[in-house]
Amino acid sequence: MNLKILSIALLSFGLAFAQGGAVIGYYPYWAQYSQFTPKNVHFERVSELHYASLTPSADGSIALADETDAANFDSLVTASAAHYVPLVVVIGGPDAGDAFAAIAADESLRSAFVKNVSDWVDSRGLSGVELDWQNPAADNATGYQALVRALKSGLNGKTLGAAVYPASVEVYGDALNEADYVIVFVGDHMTTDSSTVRPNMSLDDVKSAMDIFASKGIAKSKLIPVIALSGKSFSGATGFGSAHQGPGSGNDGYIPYKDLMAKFDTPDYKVTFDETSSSELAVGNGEAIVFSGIPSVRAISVWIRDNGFGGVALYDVSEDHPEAIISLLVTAGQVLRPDVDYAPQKKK
Amino acid sequence: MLFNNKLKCFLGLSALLSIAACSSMDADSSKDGNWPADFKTSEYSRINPDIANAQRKDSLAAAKKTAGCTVSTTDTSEDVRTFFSGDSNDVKTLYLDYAGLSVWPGYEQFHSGALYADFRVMVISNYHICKNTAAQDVAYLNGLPIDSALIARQYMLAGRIEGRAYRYCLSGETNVLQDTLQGELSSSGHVFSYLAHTYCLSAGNNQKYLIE
Repeated sequence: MNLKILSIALLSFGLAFAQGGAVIGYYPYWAQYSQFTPKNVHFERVSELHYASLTPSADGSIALADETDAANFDSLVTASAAHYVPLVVVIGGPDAGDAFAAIAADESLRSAFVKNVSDWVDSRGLSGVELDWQNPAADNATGYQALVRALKSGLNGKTLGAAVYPASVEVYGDALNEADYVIVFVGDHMTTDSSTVRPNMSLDDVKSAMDIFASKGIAKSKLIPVIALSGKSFSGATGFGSAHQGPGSGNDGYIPYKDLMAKFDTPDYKVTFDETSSSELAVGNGEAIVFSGIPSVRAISVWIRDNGFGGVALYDVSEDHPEAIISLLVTAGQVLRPDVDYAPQKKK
Repeated sequence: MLFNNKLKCFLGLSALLSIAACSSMDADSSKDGNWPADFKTSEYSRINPDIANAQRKDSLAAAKKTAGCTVSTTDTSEDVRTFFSGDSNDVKTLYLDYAGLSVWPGYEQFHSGALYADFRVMVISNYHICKNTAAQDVAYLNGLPIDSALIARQYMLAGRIEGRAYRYCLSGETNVLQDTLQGELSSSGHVFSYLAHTYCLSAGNNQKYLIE
Protein backbone atom coordinates (compact mmCIF):
# COMPACT_ATOMS: atom_id res chain seq x y z
CA MET A 1 0.00 0.00 0.00
CA ASN A 2 1.58 3.25 -1.04
CA LEU A 3 1.51 6.42 1.04
CA LYS A 4 -1.32 8.00 -0.89
CA ILE A 5 -3.59 5.03 -0.51
CA LEU A 6 -2.66 4.79 3.16
CA SER A 7 -3.56 8.44 3.66
CA ILE A 8 -6.92 7.94 2.04
CA ALA A 9 -7.50 4.93 4.21
CA LEU A 10 -6.63 6.86 7.34
CA LEU A 11 -9.01 9.60 6.31
CA SER A 12 -11.89 7.24 5.77
CA PHE A 13 -14.81 7.67 8.05
CA GLY A 14 -15.23 4.01 8.69
CA LEU A 15 -11.78 3.66 10.17
CA ALA A 16 -12.23 6.72 12.35
CA PHE A 17 -15.42 5.31 13.76
CA ALA A 18 -14.07 1.84 14.24
CA GLN A 19 -11.60 3.21 16.74
CA GLY A 20 -14.25 4.67 19.04
CA GLY A 21 -17.07 7.16 19.24
CA ALA A 22 -17.05 10.13 16.93
CA VAL A 23 -16.57 13.68 18.08
CA ILE A 24 -17.66 15.75 15.11
CA GLY A 25 -17.00 19.46 15.08
CA TYR A 26 -18.91 21.84 12.85
CA TYR A 27 -17.04 24.67 11.19
CA PRO A 28 -19.54 27.22 9.81
CA TYR A 29 -18.67 29.84 7.24
CA TRP A 30 -19.77 32.61 9.59
CA ALA A 31 -16.92 31.80 11.94
CA GLN A 32 -14.92 34.23 9.80
CA TYR A 33 -16.96 37.10 11.21
CA SER A 34 -15.74 36.37 14.73
CA GLN A 35 -12.13 36.20 13.48
CA PHE A 36 -12.08 32.42 13.82
CA THR A 37 -10.12 30.79 11.01
CA PRO A 38 -8.72 27.30 10.31
CA LYS A 39 -5.55 28.14 12.23
CA ASN A 40 -7.68 28.34 15.37
CA VAL A 41 -8.98 24.78 14.99
CA HIS A 42 -7.65 22.22 17.46
CA PHE A 43 -7.69 19.27 15.11
CA GLU A 44 -6.77 16.73 17.77
CA ARG A 45 -10.07 17.45 19.50
CA VAL A 46 -12.26 16.15 16.66
CA SER A 47 -12.52 12.88 14.81
CA GLU A 48 -14.08 14.67 11.87
CA LEU A 49 -14.82 18.24 10.76
CA HIS A 50 -17.97 19.29 8.96
CA TYR A 51 -17.82 22.52 7.01
CA ALA A 52 -21.09 24.41 6.63
CA SER A 53 -21.96 24.83 3.95
CA LEU A 54 -22.71 24.39 0.29
CA THR A 55 -26.01 25.75 -1.02
CA PRO A 56 -27.94 23.83 -3.68
CA SER A 57 -29.94 25.51 -6.42
CA ALA A 58 -33.09 24.12 -8.00
CA ASP A 59 -31.17 23.25 -11.20
CA GLY A 60 -28.89 20.89 -9.27
CA SER A 61 -25.90 23.18 -9.11
CA ILE A 62 -24.05 23.87 -5.88
CA ALA A 63 -21.96 26.74 -4.51
CA LEU A 64 -20.39 27.86 -1.27
CA ALA A 65 -22.98 29.52 0.92
CA ASP A 66 -20.61 32.45 1.35
CA GLU A 67 -17.93 32.92 -1.30
CA THR A 68 -16.07 35.32 0.99
CA ASP A 69 -15.11 32.27 3.02
CA ALA A 70 -13.57 30.43 0.05
CA ALA A 71 -9.98 31.10 1.14
CA ASN A 72 -10.73 29.84 4.65
CA PHE A 73 -12.33 26.74 3.20
CA ASP A 74 -9.25 26.06 1.08
CA SER A 75 -7.09 26.46 4.17
CA LEU A 76 -9.34 24.11 6.08
CA VAL A 77 -8.98 21.47 3.36
CA THR A 78 -5.20 21.69 3.56
CA ALA A 79 -5.01 21.77 7.35
CA SER A 80 -7.46 18.91 7.80
CA ALA A 81 -5.46 16.70 5.47
CA ALA A 82 -2.25 17.63 7.26
CA HIS A 83 -3.78 16.54 10.56
CA TYR A 84 -5.41 13.40 9.11
CA VAL A 85 -8.85 14.69 10.11
CA PRO A 86 -11.60 13.79 7.63
CA LEU A 87 -13.36 16.85 6.25
CA VAL A 88 -17.00 16.57 5.24
CA VAL A 89 -18.97 19.35 3.59
CA VAL A 90 -22.55 20.07 4.60
CA ILE A 91 -24.99 20.68 1.75
CA GLY A 92 -28.18 22.51 2.57
CA GLY A 93 -29.26 24.72 5.44
CA PRO A 94 -32.40 26.53 6.53
CA ASP A 95 -33.11 28.07 3.10
CA ALA A 96 -32.41 25.06 0.92
CA GLY A 97 -35.74 23.24 1.30
CA ASP A 98 -37.30 24.44 -1.96
CA ALA A 99 -34.19 23.63 -4.00
CA PHE A 100 -33.95 20.16 -2.47
CA ALA A 101 -37.63 19.54 -3.14
CA ALA A 102 -37.17 20.40 -6.82
CA ILE A 103 -34.00 18.35 -7.19
CA ALA A 104 -35.30 15.32 -5.35
CA ALA A 105 -38.54 15.16 -7.31
CA ASP A 106 -36.85 14.90 -10.71
CA GLU A 107 -34.58 12.01 -11.65
CA SER A 108 -32.49 14.00 -14.11
CA LEU A 109 -31.99 16.81 -11.61
CA ARG A 110 -31.05 14.28 -8.94
CA SER A 111 -28.45 12.80 -11.24
CA ALA A 112 -27.07 16.21 -12.13
CA PHE A 113 -26.97 17.21 -8.46
CA VAL A 114 -25.23 14.03 -7.39
CA LYS A 115 -22.64 14.38 -10.14
CA ASN A 116 -22.00 18.00 -9.19
CA VAL A 117 -21.58 17.03 -5.54
CA SER A 118 -19.36 14.08 -6.34
CA ASP A 119 -17.15 16.13 -8.65
CA TRP A 120 -16.90 18.95 -6.11
CA VAL A 121 -15.93 16.60 -3.30
CA ASP A 122 -13.49 14.60 -5.42
CA SER A 123 -11.77 17.66 -6.81
CA ARG A 124 -11.01 18.88 -3.30
CA GLY A 125 -10.12 15.56 -1.77
CA LEU A 126 -12.89 15.70 0.80
CA SER A 127 -14.08 12.68 2.76
CA GLY A 128 -17.77 13.06 2.07
CA VAL A 129 -20.93 15.09 2.38
CA GLU A 130 -23.68 15.68 4.90
CA LEU A 131 -27.14 16.20 3.47
CA ASP A 132 -28.86 18.92 5.51
CA TRP A 133 -32.40 19.12 4.17
CA GLN A 134 -34.05 20.75 7.14
CA ASN A 135 -37.51 19.62 8.18
CA PRO A 136 -38.69 18.04 4.91
CA ALA A 137 -42.48 17.73 4.68
CA ALA A 138 -44.52 14.57 4.25
CA ASP A 139 -44.92 15.10 0.52
CA ASN A 140 -41.13 15.17 0.18
CA ALA A 141 -40.77 11.63 1.50
CA THR A 142 -40.37 9.84 -1.83
CA GLY A 143 -37.99 12.44 -3.16
CA TYR A 144 -35.95 12.58 0.03
CA GLN A 145 -35.41 8.85 0.09
CA ALA A 146 -34.54 8.78 -3.59
CA LEU A 147 -32.03 11.57 -3.08
CA VAL A 148 -30.31 9.77 -0.20
CA ARG A 149 -30.00 6.60 -2.25
CA ALA A 150 -28.74 8.50 -5.29
CA LEU A 151 -26.09 10.24 -3.22
CA LYS A 152 -25.00 6.99 -1.64
CA SER A 153 -24.51 5.31 -4.98
CA GLY A 154 -22.99 8.35 -6.63
CA LEU A 155 -20.34 9.28 -4.09
CA ASN A 156 -18.02 6.45 -5.02
CA GLY A 157 -17.59 5.19 -1.49
CA LYS A 158 -17.24 8.58 0.13
CA THR A 159 -18.97 9.20 3.42
CA LEU A 160 -22.64 10.15 3.36
CA GLY A 161 -24.14 11.73 6.44
CA ALA A 162 -27.74 12.81 6.87
CA ALA A 163 -28.83 15.58 9.22
CA VAL A 164 -32.28 14.74 10.54
CA TYR A 165 -34.95 16.48 12.57
CA PRO A 166 -37.31 14.68 14.95
CA ALA A 167 -40.39 16.47 13.59
CA SER A 168 -39.75 14.93 10.16
CA VAL A 169 -39.03 11.41 11.33
CA GLU A 170 -41.80 9.89 9.21
CA VAL A 171 -40.33 11.40 6.05
CA TYR A 172 -36.96 9.68 6.12
CA GLY A 173 -38.02 6.06 5.98
CA ASP A 174 -35.43 3.34 5.92
CA ALA A 175 -33.31 5.36 3.50
CA LEU A 176 -31.43 6.61 6.54
CA ASN A 177 -29.81 3.23 6.89
CA GLU A 178 -28.17 3.93 3.52
CA ALA A 179 -26.29 6.77 5.14
CA ASP A 180 -23.02 6.13 6.93
CA TYR A 181 -24.27 8.12 9.89
CA VAL A 182 -27.30 10.13 10.91
CA ILE A 183 -26.86 13.40 12.74
CA VAL A 184 -29.82 14.17 14.96
CA PHE A 185 -30.60 17.83 15.56
CA VAL A 186 -31.94 17.81 19.07
CA GLY A 187 -32.93 21.45 18.67
CA ASP A 188 -33.51 24.28 21.09
CA HIS A 189 -35.96 23.33 23.80
CA MET A 190 -35.74 26.68 25.58
CA THR A 191 -36.94 29.47 23.30
CA THR A 192 -38.66 32.82 23.68
CA ASP A 193 -41.92 30.95 23.15
CA SER A 194 -41.35 28.99 26.37
CA SER A 195 -43.37 30.52 29.18
CA THR A 196 -40.78 29.67 31.83
CA VAL A 197 -37.10 28.89 31.82
CA ARG A 198 -36.04 25.27 31.37
CA PRO A 199 -32.82 23.60 30.19
CA ASN A 200 -32.18 24.17 26.52
CA MET A 201 -30.68 20.79 25.72
CA SER A 202 -30.73 18.42 28.65
CA LEU A 203 -29.69 14.80 28.70
CA ASP A 204 -33.36 13.84 28.65
CA ASP A 205 -33.87 15.97 25.54
CA VAL A 206 -31.01 14.15 23.85
CA LYS A 207 -32.37 10.77 24.92
CA SER A 208 -35.82 11.57 23.54
CA ALA A 209 -34.48 12.69 20.18
CA MET A 210 -32.22 9.68 19.81
CA ASP A 211 -34.95 7.26 20.81
CA ILE A 212 -37.25 8.66 18.12
CA PHE A 213 -34.83 7.51 15.43
CA ALA A 214 -33.63 4.35 17.13
CA SER A 215 -37.25 3.22 17.42
CA LYS A 216 -37.59 3.54 13.64
CA GLY A 217 -34.93 0.92 13.12
CA ILE A 218 -32.01 3.22 12.41
CA ALA A 219 -28.83 1.55 13.61
CA LYS A 220 -27.83 3.14 16.92
CA SER A 221 -24.18 3.13 15.91
CA LYS A 222 -25.10 5.59 13.14
CA LEU A 223 -27.00 8.02 15.35
CA ILE A 224 -25.16 11.12 16.58
CA PRO A 225 -26.80 14.04 18.43
CA VAL A 226 -25.85 17.66 17.89
CA ILE A 227 -24.96 19.59 21.03
CA ALA A 228 -25.08 23.38 20.80
CA LEU A 229 -22.13 25.27 22.21
CA SER A 230 -24.08 28.50 22.67
CA GLY A 231 -25.72 29.51 25.89
CA LYS A 232 -29.08 31.29 25.74
CA SER A 233 -30.00 34.20 27.97
CA PHE A 234 -33.48 35.23 29.07
CA SER A 235 -34.19 38.64 30.52
CA GLY A 236 -35.91 38.91 33.86
CA ALA A 237 -35.61 35.21 34.69
CA THR A 238 -34.33 34.11 38.08
CA GLY A 239 -33.89 30.38 37.53
CA PHE A 240 -35.51 27.24 36.17
CA GLY A 241 -39.29 27.57 36.28
CA SER A 242 -39.27 31.36 36.39
CA ALA A 243 -40.86 33.63 33.80
CA HIS A 244 -38.84 35.73 31.37
CA GLN A 245 -39.26 38.74 29.13
CA GLY A 246 -37.47 37.53 26.03
CA PRO A 247 -33.81 37.41 25.03
CA GLY A 248 -31.22 38.78 27.42
CA SER A 249 -27.61 39.70 26.70
CA GLY A 250 -25.66 38.39 23.74
CA ASN A 251 -26.56 38.22 20.08
CA ASP A 252 -30.35 37.98 20.31
CA GLY A 253 -29.76 36.04 23.51
CA TYR A 254 -27.13 33.67 22.08
CA ILE A 255 -23.75 33.67 23.83
CA PRO A 256 -20.89 31.41 22.68
CA TYR A 257 -19.64 29.11 25.40
CA LYS A 258 -16.18 30.67 25.29
CA ASP A 259 -17.68 34.13 25.86
CA LEU A 260 -19.61 33.03 28.92
CA MET A 261 -16.33 33.01 30.82
CA ALA A 262 -16.02 36.78 30.66
CA LYS A 263 -19.41 37.05 32.31
CA PHE A 264 -18.75 34.44 34.93
CA ASP A 265 -15.49 36.02 36.02
CA THR A 266 -17.51 38.85 37.51
CA PRO A 267 -19.34 38.45 40.81
CA ASP A 268 -22.58 39.28 38.99
CA TYR A 269 -23.53 35.73 38.04
CA LYS A 270 -24.20 32.73 40.22
CA VAL A 271 -23.38 29.57 38.26
CA THR A 272 -25.06 26.34 39.28
CA PHE A 273 -25.60 22.82 38.02
CA ASP A 274 -29.01 21.18 38.16
CA GLU A 275 -28.56 17.54 39.03
CA THR A 276 -32.08 16.53 38.01
CA SER A 277 -31.77 17.71 34.43
CA SER A 278 -27.97 17.48 34.23
CA SER A 279 -27.75 21.02 32.95
CA GLU A 280 -26.10 24.31 33.79
CA LEU A 281 -27.68 27.60 34.77
CA ALA A 282 -26.26 31.05 35.52
CA VAL A 283 -28.35 33.77 37.11
CA GLY A 284 -27.40 37.40 37.51
CA ASN A 285 -27.56 40.88 35.99
CA GLY A 286 -31.31 40.57 35.60
CA GLU A 287 -31.21 37.45 33.43
CA ALA A 288 -30.81 33.69 33.45
CA ILE A 289 -28.47 31.85 31.06
CA VAL A 290 -29.00 28.20 30.20
CA PHE A 291 -26.01 26.47 28.67
CA SER A 292 -24.23 23.16 28.17
CA GLY A 293 -21.09 22.97 30.25
CA ILE A 294 -18.53 20.36 31.16
CA PRO A 295 -20.68 18.15 33.42
CA SER A 296 -23.66 18.04 31.07
CA VAL A 297 -21.57 17.38 27.96
CA ARG A 298 -19.79 14.64 29.87
CA ALA A 299 -23.12 13.14 30.96
CA ILE A 300 -24.41 13.13 27.39
CA SER A 301 -21.17 11.62 26.10
CA VAL A 302 -21.22 8.87 28.72
CA TRP A 303 -24.83 8.03 27.87
CA ILE A 304 -24.01 7.97 24.16
CA ARG A 305 -21.04 5.69 24.73
CA ASP A 306 -22.79 3.35 27.14
CA ASN A 307 -25.83 2.94 24.92
CA GLY A 308 -24.02 2.14 21.70
CA PHE A 309 -24.66 5.35 19.79
CA GLY A 310 -22.17 6.71 17.28
CA GLY A 311 -20.79 9.73 19.08
CA VAL A 312 -21.59 13.42 19.43
CA ALA A 313 -21.42 16.44 17.15
CA LEU A 314 -20.73 19.87 18.59
CA TYR A 315 -22.00 23.04 16.99
CA ASP A 316 -19.69 24.79 16.48
CA VAL A 317 -15.92 24.64 16.97
CA SER A 318 -15.55 28.42 16.92
CA GLU A 319 -17.66 28.71 20.07
CA ASP A 320 -15.69 26.22 22.13
CA HIS A 321 -13.14 27.43 24.64
CA PRO A 322 -9.60 27.29 23.24
CA GLU A 323 -8.10 26.00 26.49
CA ALA A 324 -8.25 22.21 26.78
CA ILE A 325 -9.01 22.38 30.47
CA ILE A 326 -12.47 23.78 29.91
CA SER A 327 -13.04 22.82 26.27
CA LEU A 328 -16.30 20.99 25.60
CA LEU A 329 -14.79 19.20 22.60
CA VAL A 330 -12.13 17.83 24.91
CA THR A 331 -14.76 16.94 27.51
CA ALA A 332 -16.63 14.83 24.95
CA GLY A 333 -13.40 13.43 23.57
CA GLN A 334 -12.16 12.25 26.94
CA VAL A 335 -15.24 10.01 27.10
CA LEU A 336 -15.57 8.98 23.46
CA ARG A 337 -11.95 9.08 22.28
CA PRO A 338 -10.03 8.43 25.47
CA ASP A 339 -6.85 7.37 23.71
CA VAL A 340 -6.25 10.85 22.34
CA ASP A 341 -3.74 12.92 24.27
CA TYR A 342 -5.68 16.10 25.02
CA ALA A 343 -3.81 16.98 28.18
CA PRO A 344 -1.92 15.19 30.92
CA GLN A 345 -4.20 13.37 33.28
CA LYS A 346 -4.04 13.71 37.01
CA LYS A 347 -1.83 11.11 38.67
CA LYS A 348 -2.27 9.88 42.18
CA MET B 1 -9.10 34.62 23.46
CA LEU B 2 -10.70 37.76 24.80
CA PHE B 3 -10.05 37.03 28.41
CA ASN B 4 -6.76 35.36 27.69
CA ASN B 5 -5.40 38.62 26.37
CA LYS B 6 -6.88 40.45 29.25
CA LEU B 7 -6.01 38.16 32.05
CA LYS B 8 -3.06 36.03 31.12
CA CYS B 9 0.09 36.74 33.03
CA PHE B 10 3.42 35.13 32.78
CA LEU B 11 5.38 33.50 35.48
CA GLY B 12 8.78 34.63 36.54
CA LEU B 13 10.81 32.72 39.04
CA SER B 14 8.17 30.61 40.65
CA ALA B 15 5.06 29.22 39.05
CA LEU B 16 3.21 28.72 42.24
CA LEU B 17 4.08 32.06 43.75
CA SER B 18 3.23 33.76 40.51
CA ILE B 19 -0.15 32.11 40.39
CA ALA B 20 -0.92 33.97 43.56
CA ALA B 21 0.64 37.21 42.48
CA CYS B 22 0.03 37.73 38.79
CA SER B 23 -3.56 37.09 37.93
CA SER B 24 -5.59 40.14 37.16
CA MET B 25 -8.47 38.12 38.49
CA ASP B 26 -6.65 38.24 41.83
CA ALA B 27 -7.49 34.61 42.25
CA ASP B 28 -6.29 34.34 45.82
CA SER B 29 -8.55 37.01 47.18
CA SER B 30 -11.96 36.21 48.58
CA LYS B 31 -14.39 34.95 45.99
CA ASP B 32 -18.01 35.55 45.27
CA GLY B 33 -20.54 32.75 45.46
CA ASN B 34 -19.00 30.72 42.66
CA TRP B 35 -15.95 29.97 44.82
CA PRO B 36 -15.54 29.23 48.53
CA ALA B 37 -14.60 32.31 50.52
CA ASP B 38 -11.19 30.84 51.35
CA PHE B 39 -10.46 29.59 47.83
CA LYS B 40 -6.88 30.20 46.75
CA THR B 41 -5.96 29.36 43.18
CA SER B 42 -2.37 28.54 44.14
CA GLU B 43 -3.49 25.90 46.63
CA TYR B 44 -6.12 24.49 44.28
CA SER B 45 -3.50 24.27 41.54
CA ARG B 46 -1.03 22.54 43.85
CA ILE B 47 -3.62 19.95 44.85
CA ASN B 48 -4.76 19.47 41.25
CA PRO B 49 -1.56 19.79 39.19
CA ASP B 50 -3.16 18.31 36.08
CA ILE B 51 -4.88 21.63 35.44
CA ALA B 52 -1.73 23.73 35.18
CA ASN B 53 0.11 20.87 33.50
CA ALA B 54 -2.44 20.91 30.73
CA GLN B 55 -1.37 24.46 30.00
CA ARG B 56 2.29 23.50 30.02
CA LYS B 57 1.75 20.53 27.74
CA ASP B 58 2.38 22.10 24.34
CA SER B 59 5.47 24.02 25.41
CA LEU B 60 6.89 21.00 27.15
CA ALA B 61 6.28 18.77 24.15
CA ALA B 62 8.07 21.26 21.91
CA ALA B 63 11.04 21.45 24.28
CA LYS B 64 11.31 17.65 24.46
CA LYS B 65 11.16 17.45 20.68
CA THR B 66 13.91 20.04 20.36
CA ALA B 67 16.03 18.11 22.85
CA GLY B 68 15.59 15.12 20.60
CA CYS B 69 15.40 12.31 23.10
CA THR B 70 13.01 10.73 25.56
CA VAL B 71 13.08 8.84 28.81
CA SER B 72 11.33 5.52 29.15
CA THR B 73 10.69 3.19 32.04
CA THR B 74 13.43 0.90 30.85
CA ASP B 75 15.91 3.69 30.30
CA THR B 76 18.93 3.41 32.55
CA SER B 77 21.04 5.70 30.46
CA GLU B 78 23.50 8.19 31.82
CA ASP B 79 20.92 10.89 31.34
CA VAL B 80 18.46 9.16 33.64
CA ARG B 81 21.07 8.37 36.26
CA THR B 82 22.31 11.93 36.23
CA PHE B 83 18.81 13.23 36.46
CA PHE B 84 17.75 11.14 39.43
CA SER B 85 20.99 11.44 41.29
CA GLY B 86 20.93 15.20 41.06
CA ASP B 87 19.44 17.68 43.45
CA SER B 88 16.94 15.64 45.39
CA ASN B 89 14.86 18.64 46.30
CA ASP B 90 14.26 19.36 42.65
CA VAL B 91 13.40 15.74 41.90
CA LYS B 92 10.99 15.92 44.82
CA THR B 93 9.48 19.10 43.40
CA LEU B 94 8.91 17.39 40.06
CA TYR B 95 7.50 14.37 41.86
CA LEU B 96 5.04 16.18 44.08
CA ASP B 97 4.25 19.50 42.42
CA TYR B 98 4.32 18.63 38.74
CA ALA B 99 3.72 14.90 38.41
CA GLY B 100 1.14 15.10 41.20
CA LEU B 101 2.38 11.93 42.85
CA SER B 102 1.42 11.99 46.47
CA VAL B 103 3.75 9.98 48.67
CA TRP B 104 7.42 10.84 48.33
CA PRO B 105 9.36 7.55 48.43
CA GLY B 106 12.55 9.11 49.77
CA TYR B 107 15.79 10.28 48.22
CA GLU B 108 17.55 6.97 48.49
CA GLN B 109 15.01 5.27 46.26
CA PHE B 110 16.07 7.52 43.43
CA HIS B 111 19.74 7.66 44.19
CA SER B 112 19.95 3.88 44.25
CA GLY B 113 18.16 3.53 40.95
CA ALA B 114 15.58 1.27 42.58
CA LEU B 115 12.74 3.08 40.85
CA TYR B 116 14.17 3.20 37.35
CA ALA B 117 11.67 0.65 36.09
CA ASP B 118 8.82 2.03 38.20
CA PHE B 119 5.77 3.69 36.69
CA ARG B 120 6.56 6.74 38.77
CA VAL B 121 9.70 7.28 36.74
CA MET B 122 7.58 7.31 33.63
CA VAL B 123 5.26 9.89 35.16
CA ILE B 124 8.13 12.12 36.19
CA SER B 125 9.75 11.67 32.80
CA ASN B 126 6.79 13.51 31.33
CA TYR B 127 8.30 16.60 32.95
CA HIS B 128 11.94 15.87 32.17
CA ILE B 129 13.74 17.25 29.14
CA CYS B 130 16.61 14.95 28.40
CA LYS B 131 20.09 16.12 29.31
CA ASN B 132 18.58 18.57 31.75
CA THR B 133 19.27 18.29 35.42
CA ALA B 134 16.27 18.20 37.70
CA ALA B 135 17.03 21.78 38.69
CA GLN B 136 16.95 22.83 35.03
CA ASP B 137 13.65 21.01 34.54
CA VAL B 138 12.12 22.75 37.53
CA ALA B 139 13.42 26.12 36.35
CA TYR B 140 12.02 25.51 32.87
CA LEU B 141 8.63 24.43 34.17
CA ASN B 142 8.46 27.33 36.59
CA GLY B 143 9.10 29.70 33.72
CA LEU B 144 6.24 28.50 31.54
CA PRO B 145 3.22 30.80 31.37
CA ILE B 146 0.21 29.79 33.38
CA ASP B 147 -3.19 31.42 33.19
CA SER B 148 -4.20 31.28 36.83
CA ALA B 149 -7.63 32.71 36.09
CA LEU B 150 -8.24 29.69 33.90
CA ILE B 151 -7.49 27.41 36.84
CA ALA B 152 -10.04 29.25 38.95
CA ARG B 153 -12.57 28.98 36.13
CA GLN B 154 -11.99 25.25 35.93
CA TYR B 155 -13.05 24.98 39.57
CA MET B 156 -16.17 27.03 38.95
CA LEU B 157 -17.20 25.18 35.77
CA ALA B 158 -16.22 21.64 36.63
CA GLY B 159 -13.93 21.09 39.58
CA ARG B 160 -16.46 21.79 42.31
CA ILE B 161 -19.10 19.73 40.49
CA GLU B 162 -16.64 16.85 40.11
CA GLY B 163 -15.85 17.08 43.82
CA ARG B 164 -12.26 18.22 43.52
CA ALA B 165 -10.59 19.33 46.75
CA TYR B 166 -9.74 23.02 46.70
CA ARG B 167 -7.49 23.20 49.76
CA TYR B 168 -5.71 21.00 52.26
CA CYS B 169 -7.68 19.82 55.28
CA LEU B 170 -7.39 21.60 58.57
CA SER B 171 -7.28 19.90 61.92
CA GLY B 172 -10.55 18.17 62.67
CA GLU B 173 -11.77 18.13 59.07
CA THR B 174 -10.88 14.56 58.19
CA ASN B 175 -14.13 12.98 59.35
CA VAL B 176 -16.26 12.21 56.29
CA LEU B 177 -14.50 10.63 53.31
CA GLN B 178 -15.74 11.80 49.95
CA ASP B 179 -15.66 8.21 48.72
CA THR B 180 -18.54 7.41 51.05
CA LEU B 181 -20.78 9.70 49.02
CA GLN B 182 -22.58 8.80 45.83
CA GLY B 183 -20.60 7.96 42.71
CA GLU B 184 -20.29 10.11 39.65
CA LEU B 185 -23.27 8.74 37.77
CA SER B 186 -26.60 7.59 39.08
CA SER B 187 -28.42 4.69 37.49
CA SER B 188 -30.42 7.14 35.36
CA GLY B 189 -27.27 8.33 33.68
CA HIS B 190 -27.57 11.76 35.20
CA VAL B 191 -24.54 13.36 36.72
CA PHE B 192 -24.16 13.24 40.45
CA SER B 193 -23.05 16.71 41.40
CA TYR B 194 -20.76 17.36 44.35
CA LEU B 195 -21.86 20.99 44.22
CA ALA B 196 -23.74 20.84 47.50
CA HIS B 197 -20.51 20.42 49.44
CA THR B 198 -16.87 21.42 49.35
CA TYR B 199 -13.89 19.14 49.88
CA CYS B 200 -10.39 19.28 51.25
CA LEU B 201 -7.40 17.01 50.67
CA SER B 202 -5.63 15.36 53.54
CA ALA B 203 -1.92 15.86 53.14
CA GLY B 204 -1.43 12.79 55.32
CA ASN B 205 -3.23 10.16 53.27
CA ASN B 206 -4.14 12.00 50.03
CA GLN B 207 -7.84 11.33 50.61
CA LYS B 208 -10.60 13.86 50.07
CA TYR B 209 -12.87 14.80 52.95
CA LEU B 210 -16.07 16.75 53.34
CA ILE B 211 -15.58 20.31 54.58
CA GLU B 212 -19.22 21.30 54.82
